[in-house]
Amino acid sequence: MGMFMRNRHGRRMPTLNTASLPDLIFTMLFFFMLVTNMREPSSRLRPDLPASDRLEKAGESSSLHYIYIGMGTDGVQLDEEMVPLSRLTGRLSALSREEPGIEIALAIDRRVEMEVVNRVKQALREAGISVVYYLGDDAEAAR
Amino acid sequence: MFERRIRREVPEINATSTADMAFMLLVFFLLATSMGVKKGIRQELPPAVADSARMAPLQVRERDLLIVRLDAEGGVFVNDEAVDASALKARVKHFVENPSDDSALPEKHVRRLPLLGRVRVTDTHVISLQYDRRTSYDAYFSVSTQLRRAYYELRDSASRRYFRCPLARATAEQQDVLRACYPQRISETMLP
Repeated sequence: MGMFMRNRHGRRMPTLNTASLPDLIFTMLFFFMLVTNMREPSSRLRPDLPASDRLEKAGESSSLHYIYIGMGTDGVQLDEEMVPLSRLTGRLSALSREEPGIEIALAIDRRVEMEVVNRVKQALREAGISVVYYLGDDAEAAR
Repeated sequence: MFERRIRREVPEINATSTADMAFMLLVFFLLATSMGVKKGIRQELPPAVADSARMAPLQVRERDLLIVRLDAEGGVFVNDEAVDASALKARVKHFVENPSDDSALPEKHVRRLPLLGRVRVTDTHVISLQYDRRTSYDAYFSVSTQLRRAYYELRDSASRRYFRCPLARATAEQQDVLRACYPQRISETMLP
């Protein structure tokens, strides 16, 4: 220890006062808590989203759930989990009973046919969910 | 004699580990959150068929109805007449606005709105967006964008006319009034 506390000339190094370090870190913590929102679930489907310039911010992240619809699969991904279309209504109903007032962000591949989209919309309506966001890439600059 | 009071020192709380704790929380938030904001087209879904069957069927007069149909190949038809994607917006704007008070276009009703007073509004118009089961989501999304852009441009020009500022800079109250001026009435159905 002494080896590090003394320099070559034998004088003691002053110790660094770390009393204000917690305050500093807490400030950073609050900054991140305020400017960020909860990360969306990762998707194995990687839908290729369509672009639009008329997009608005998709809801509050706390009440937002995600549905991914990709190409070449029978089911859709609800948050972190693959759900077959036939069981989607049940899962969504359970979800909206647990947390009333949830909103759904739909990340749908641009090549998906509307028949699938319509079935998902029907499931959402039957589950009593009324607000959805069709996610898209922002094309504000490309107008 | 009084007993001498024993002087005790108040023990200090060792706060060295607070920094570690805060670091832990910081790392958690860095991992669990993201900066990017998700954006999308907002839509309010009507209640399920079982509920809406109990409601009286909506009677829409022919002059109030604009049918926008998307076929399986992504072709756009307005009242069975093929239009290209760029002309759609103009058709929708003309339909919703009814600038010359045409009797074949939606009827205007006098409404009393805050900030503006008496305004003539086509608030019974309905745009029926119909698509085929084979229509691609991309085609649907771009038509959906066109429809929203039409409403946006109508509200934007009204904002410049009434409030002398673009819609993006209007206050929340002004934006509510402009929404009431040009209410978005789109109904969506999949053709059997």
